[in-house]
Amino acid sequence: MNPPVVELCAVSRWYGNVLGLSRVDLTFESGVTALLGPNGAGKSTLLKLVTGLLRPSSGTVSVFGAAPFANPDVHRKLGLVPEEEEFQARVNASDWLEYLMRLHGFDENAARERARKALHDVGLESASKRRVTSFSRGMKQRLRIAQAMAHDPEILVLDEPLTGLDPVGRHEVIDWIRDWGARGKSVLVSSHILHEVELMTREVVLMTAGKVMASGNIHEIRRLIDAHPHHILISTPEPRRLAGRLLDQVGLHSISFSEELQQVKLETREPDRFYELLANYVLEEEGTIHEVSSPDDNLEAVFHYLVE
Amino acid sequence: MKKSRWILTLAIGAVVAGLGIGAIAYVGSSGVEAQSPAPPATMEWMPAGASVVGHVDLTSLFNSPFREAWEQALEARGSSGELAEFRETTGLDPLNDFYRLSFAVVTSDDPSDSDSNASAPRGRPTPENWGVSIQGAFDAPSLLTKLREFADVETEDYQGTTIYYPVRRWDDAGDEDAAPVGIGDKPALAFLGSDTLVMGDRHYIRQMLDTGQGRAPSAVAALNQNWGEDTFLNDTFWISAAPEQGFGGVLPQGGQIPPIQSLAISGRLDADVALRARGLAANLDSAIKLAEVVRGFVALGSLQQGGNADIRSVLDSVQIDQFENAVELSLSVPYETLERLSAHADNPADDN
Amino acid sequence: MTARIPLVAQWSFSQLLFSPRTAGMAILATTPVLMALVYRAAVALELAAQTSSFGVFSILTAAVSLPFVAPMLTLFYASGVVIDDAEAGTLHYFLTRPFARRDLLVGKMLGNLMIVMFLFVPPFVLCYYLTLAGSGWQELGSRFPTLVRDLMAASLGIFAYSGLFSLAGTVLKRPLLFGLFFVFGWQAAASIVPGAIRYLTVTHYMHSLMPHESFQSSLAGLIGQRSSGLEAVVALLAIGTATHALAVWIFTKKEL
Repeated sequence: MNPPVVELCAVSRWYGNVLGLSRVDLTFESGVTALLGPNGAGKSTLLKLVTGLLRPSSGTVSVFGAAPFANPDVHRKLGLVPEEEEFQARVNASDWLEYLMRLHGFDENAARERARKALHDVGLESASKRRVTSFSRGMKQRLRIAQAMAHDPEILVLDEPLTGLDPVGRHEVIDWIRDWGARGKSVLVSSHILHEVELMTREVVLMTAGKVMASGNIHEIRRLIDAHPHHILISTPEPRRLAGRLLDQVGLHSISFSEELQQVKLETREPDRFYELLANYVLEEEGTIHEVSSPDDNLEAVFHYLVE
Repeated sequence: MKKSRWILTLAIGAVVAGLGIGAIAYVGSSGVEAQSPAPPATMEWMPAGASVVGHVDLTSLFNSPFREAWEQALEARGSSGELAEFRETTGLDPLNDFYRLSFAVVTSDDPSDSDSNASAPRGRPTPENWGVSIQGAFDAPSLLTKLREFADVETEDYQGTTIYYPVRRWDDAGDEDAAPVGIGDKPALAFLGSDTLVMGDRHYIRQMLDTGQGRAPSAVAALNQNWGEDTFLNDTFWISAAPEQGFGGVLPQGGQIPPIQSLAISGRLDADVALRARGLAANLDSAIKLAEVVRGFVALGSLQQGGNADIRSVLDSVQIDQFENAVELSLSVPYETLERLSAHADNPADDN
Repeated sequence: MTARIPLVAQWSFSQLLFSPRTAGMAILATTPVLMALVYRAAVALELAAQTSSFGVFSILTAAVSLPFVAPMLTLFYASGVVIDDAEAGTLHYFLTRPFARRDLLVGKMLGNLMIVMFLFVPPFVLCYYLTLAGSGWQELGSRFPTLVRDLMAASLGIFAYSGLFSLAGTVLKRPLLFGLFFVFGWQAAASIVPGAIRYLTVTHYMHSLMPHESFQSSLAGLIGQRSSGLEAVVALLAIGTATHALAVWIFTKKEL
C-alpha cells in the first residue's frame, strides 16, 4: 500500500517561544487541498514543513513516505511557489527557469525546452528575455508558478499563489490548479481569498493560531456551522410584521429590521427550523418575501464562524 | 552566463599571459645570467675564501664625469708633477693604461686587540694575505727593467708562470724579520699574458695563480652563491665583505644591530651615480630588523642634515628594500650634486 | 554526486559579476593599479626614481593589496554566501531542488572565490608590470618569483578569509560587521601583541609567507613573531578547509 502523499503526525513547530504549529495531524492525498486561515494561522509554516524548508519541533512529516527536510528524493517530485516576497534574480526569465531546470537535473537542451514551455504556459513567452527585476508583481507571480510547474512535479505546493495577479490571471491560475488536481497530482495551496479557493477545490483545511480547526470536504465543514448562529437576510415589503412573527421563535439569537431598506436580518442557531417557519409564514399567513439569502452559504462565513 | 564565461576566460587568459611573460623573462634572465655577463677578467684570479673582495672598472671610472674633477683636483693640489713623474718612471699612464682592477684580502682576528674591549666578540681584523689583479696596457719587459732599477728581483717558476720577488727595497734588506706589519709574506708579482698583472704576498700569489688556472675555487663562484642572481660583479665598482670569514670587527655585529653575514657596496656610473649597499642577514626576522635599523639611521640622517638641500635630496633618493634575508639600500645621485657635496666637504663654511 | 557544483559556481559568478557590488569592488581592486599609474607618471615626470620600482611594488603589495584589498574583497562576497540569496528571494527556489545543500553552498563559495580572484589577480599582475615597467627585461624576470610567491600568499589568504567569512555568513545575521571587526579590529591588534594570540589571525600567516616588509610584518618581525613558510601554508589551508567545511555542515542542518 502506498503511503499518503503528505502525512503530518502530531506535528508541532516552535519559533523560540512562539508556537507556529500545534499538534497537527493531517493527511493529504492526490487532488487539490486548500489551507485557509488568517495571517499567523500557521499555513506557511505547514507548507515549509511539507517542502522541507523547516523541520518539525516534534512529530513527523513525511512526503511520499520520506522526511522532506533537505531531501533531494522528495524535492525531485516537488514544485514550490513560495509566498510572495522580494524576488530579485538579476537575469532574464528564460535564463532563470533554465538554471532552475538544470539544478533539477535536466541537461542543457531539456532545461531550455522546459523553460520555454513553462513560460509559454503562464503567458510570459513574450517577456522571456526581459530581466526579472523589471517584471510587475503579477508577472513575477506567473514566473513563480512557471518554475514550480516546469518540471512536472507530483506534488505542487503553492503559498498564496493568487497574490498580485489581476482578475484574468487569477482565473487562469485557478484553472491550472484545478487541471493539475484533475490529472491526479497533489496540490497543496494556501490562500485567504476564500471565494477563489471555493473555485479551486472542495477539500479544505481551516487553520488558526497554529491549529487545524477543521478539515475535509466543504460540505462536512458546513455541518459545523450549525453550532454557530446562522446569518439570514430577508428582503420583504413588511419587515416589521415579519420581525414580529419571528421574534419569539426558538433559537433566535438576534433580529433587526429596516423599514427603509425593507430588510430583516437575523441570527439563528436553528436554521432548519427557521426555514420551516418561514415557509409557513408565506403559505399560511400570506406573508410576502422577495428574497432570502444567507452568507453562510459562502465559505467565508464558515471561516469566520470558526476563527471567531 | 555565456557572457560571464567569456569575461572569465578573457581574465584568465590575461593573467596567464601576464604570468607567462614573467616566467619567460625569469627563464630568460636566468639564461642570460648563466651565459653572461662574464665576470671581469681580473676576477678570474681572485681565490675563494677572501674576507673582502672588490673590483673597480677603471675605464668606466676614468671616462666618467669624475675624470675632469680629478684632474682639476690633482692640478689644484700640485700633484700633476708627481703623476707625470710616475708616467715617466713606469711608462704607465694611470688614467688611461689601467682598465680594471680586482683585489682580495684575507683577514684574521687579532686576539691581542680583543683584550681592550672585553665585550667585543672578536678582535680587530688583521690582513693576512692580499692580492691585486690589474688589467691594462702593460709592457712587461719595460716594467721589469724599471723595477730592477729600484730592487733586486728574484724569480720563481710556479706551474709554468714566473713569479717575481722584489727583495731589496720592500724587504728592508738585511733584516728578514722586518717584513711590513700586517702584509705577512713578501710581496710578489707576475705577468699573465700581455695585459694582466697580479700582485700579492708570496703565499697568496700562488693561490691566485692556482685559481686563474682552475686549480682552486674562485671568489666569483662564492660571490654568486652568496648574492644569488642579483649580481653586481659588472658594476663600475664594488666591494663585498664576509664577516664570518674574519671580518667581524669591521661590520656591525651584536647589540641592537642584527648580525650581517655578508655586505656588499656597489656603484654604477650611468646618467647618475647609482649606489647600492646590500646586507645579507641570517634569516628573515633579522633582515626585517636590519631594515628597520637602517631606516632608522636614514631617518636620523634626515633630521641631522642641517638644511642642506643636496644632502636632503640624496637622502630623499634613498630606497630601503627588504626581500627575504637581504636588505638593500639604494640611492641615485646626480654628478652635479656630488660635486657640490664634495665642494661643501672641502669648505663647510660655504654652506650658509 | 557533485555535478551541480560547477553549475552553481558559474551561476553565482555570473550573478555577482554584473551586480552593483562588483562595480564598487572593482574600484577597490584597482586601487593598487591606480597607485602604480601615479608612480609611473611620477617617474615620467622625473619626480620618482625608476630604481625604486620594485620597492613601490613591495609597498603596494605589503601595505595595500594583501592586507587590505584581499580581505575586503573576500569579505564583501563571502559574507553574503547565504544572505544574498535570502535577500533576493531566490534561496527557497534552490533549496527545494533535488540536489544536496552541500553542493549548493560549495558551488556558491566557489563562485565567490572566482569573483574575488577575478577582481584581485589581474590588477595585481598588472600592478607588477606597471611598477616594474622600464626597469628592463632582466628586472622583470628576476623579480618574477616574488610575484608568484605573492600570488600564492594572496590565494591562500583569500581561501582562509573566504572560509571564515562564509562561516560567518552562514551563522550570523550580520556577517559583514563581524568581518570588518575581524580584519580591522581583531587582526590589527592581535598581530602586534606578543604571545600566541597572533596565531588566531590570518594576517600572521600571510605575512609569514610574504617576502616583503610591511608595518605589521616588521613590527611582528621585531618581536620575533613569524611562522615558517611551511607552517603558514599549512595553517592557511587548515583554516580555509576547516571553516569552509564547517560552514557547509551548518548549512546542511540549518533551517532557512
